[in-house]
Amino acid sequence: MRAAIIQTFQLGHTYDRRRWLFRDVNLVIEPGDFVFLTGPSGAGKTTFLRLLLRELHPTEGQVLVMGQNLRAIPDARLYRIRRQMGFVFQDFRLIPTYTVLENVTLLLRLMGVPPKEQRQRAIRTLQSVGLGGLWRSSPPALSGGEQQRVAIARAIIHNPKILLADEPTGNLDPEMSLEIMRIFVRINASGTTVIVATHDDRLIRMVGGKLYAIERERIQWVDQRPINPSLLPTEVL
Amino acid sequence: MKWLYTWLAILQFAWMNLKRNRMTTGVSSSIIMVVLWLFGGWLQASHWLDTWLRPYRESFILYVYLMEGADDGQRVAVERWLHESPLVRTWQFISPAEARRRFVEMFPEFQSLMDSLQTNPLPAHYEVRLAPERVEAQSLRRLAASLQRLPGVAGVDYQQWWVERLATLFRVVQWGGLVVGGVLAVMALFTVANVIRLSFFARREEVQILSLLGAHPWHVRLPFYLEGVLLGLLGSLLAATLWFLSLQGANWYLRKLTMAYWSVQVQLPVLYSIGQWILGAGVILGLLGAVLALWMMRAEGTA
Repeated sequence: MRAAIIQTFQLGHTYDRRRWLFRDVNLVIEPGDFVFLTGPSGAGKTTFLRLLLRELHPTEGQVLVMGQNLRAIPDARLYRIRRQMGFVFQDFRLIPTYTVLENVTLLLRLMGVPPKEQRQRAIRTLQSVGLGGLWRSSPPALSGGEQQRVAIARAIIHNPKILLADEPTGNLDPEMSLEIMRIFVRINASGTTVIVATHDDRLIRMVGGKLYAIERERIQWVDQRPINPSLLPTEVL
Repeated sequence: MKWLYTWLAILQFAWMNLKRNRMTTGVSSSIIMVVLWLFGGWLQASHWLDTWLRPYRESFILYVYLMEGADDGQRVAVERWLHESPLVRTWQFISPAEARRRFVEMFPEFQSLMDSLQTNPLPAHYEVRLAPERVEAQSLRRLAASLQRLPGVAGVDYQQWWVERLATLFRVVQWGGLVVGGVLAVMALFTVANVIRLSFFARREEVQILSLLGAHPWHVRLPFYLEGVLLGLLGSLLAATLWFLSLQGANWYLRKLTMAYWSVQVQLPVLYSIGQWILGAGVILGLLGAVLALWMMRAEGTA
């Protein structure tokens, strides 16, 4: 067994101390895993992802990301761990007043990457999600699927080790949802650990990977299946 | 080089945001402009007052009259006191004979009167010239009182009426300016702070995204500070221009007026370094406004 990239110990969270979303969660996610987290709406999928990003502190227990206890990291140094992660939202959260290129290079600009390199990397990343020619466009002019792919490009442009996606296909049609999954599988094939929170069982069955479900205050391992070969990039096959 | 690109990006974020919120930027920089224009006017008025009153302040003389028969020891004590006082620039001992000579020289018509007197009525005294930058009513009063208490001193005289009036005038200009300026500065400060707060709320999602993507906390905060500084700078540039144009206009009018009535050209002296003060004050005002905004939002738990 390889060293865990994400590990939780006795993790539990509640917003009001009356109803627990989950408790005593001891989870191990290994590098390169493709993980689905499922459960009904309001079960705590988003909360779990927010705990992994340390957007929230758990009510109890610990979260270790790449061996680091998130609770022990001072606020001022949190950015270091977040730069190892990418995040995709259900509602894309692109900045409408920026172009696609500006949205994708948001972090690179602040990291002091030279403009030429920013552009090259952005175009390369946009090409990898099938949007090579749209870098000058404005997000509101794009379709939902295109916007989500821009959001994915933004999340992976800095080569994160972990990609978290919260209901990334929630606003998309089945065909586009599958396309997004294909992109996630390709990202995963390059070594990035992918964790997708979704309640779309059809998609989970179609893709494969490790499946965890939030049920009755527990996050339980449900199933593990190989990734659907039809989604894998040809070079992996 | 990396830091340069980072700074450029932060500057770009701040500038784009100011451009995006043109209305609030315009209103707040106009308020800053008015405040700093008044600030410049106040500095200029203080400078004029100082320039015009300097000759009067330089001509202040304090007289320390000695008692008849004051001995050398008492004179040494007075001189030591004068030597040690920071208010005193120079002093000169005037003997009764010298005082008489000066009196006669100044008022030759009284020569015969002085000759007719059997004794010299003029006492020995010290003529003390004061450091003009330190001439100030309270310290002068203290110095006079201290000298007055020394043995052998018959009296101390200075142009108390003038000193008091000047001090009052300075106090009115300074305190009036400070109070009015302070109120206006607080207004401008809260205006900047509210603009930054509005800007933060408008970009809340962007801030959250940046933070989740792994932007350093300072990279998230700095555009807001910079936005405040740019607002202040913009307002102060407008204020400095307005201040300069107002003075040029005032001088043009004064020249026209004095030429028409007295055929001379009178001009108000302009202290150009006030322009730098206006710019500096604008930057500080903007930065403080941004600091206040982020502090308020932290206190409210919104940032």
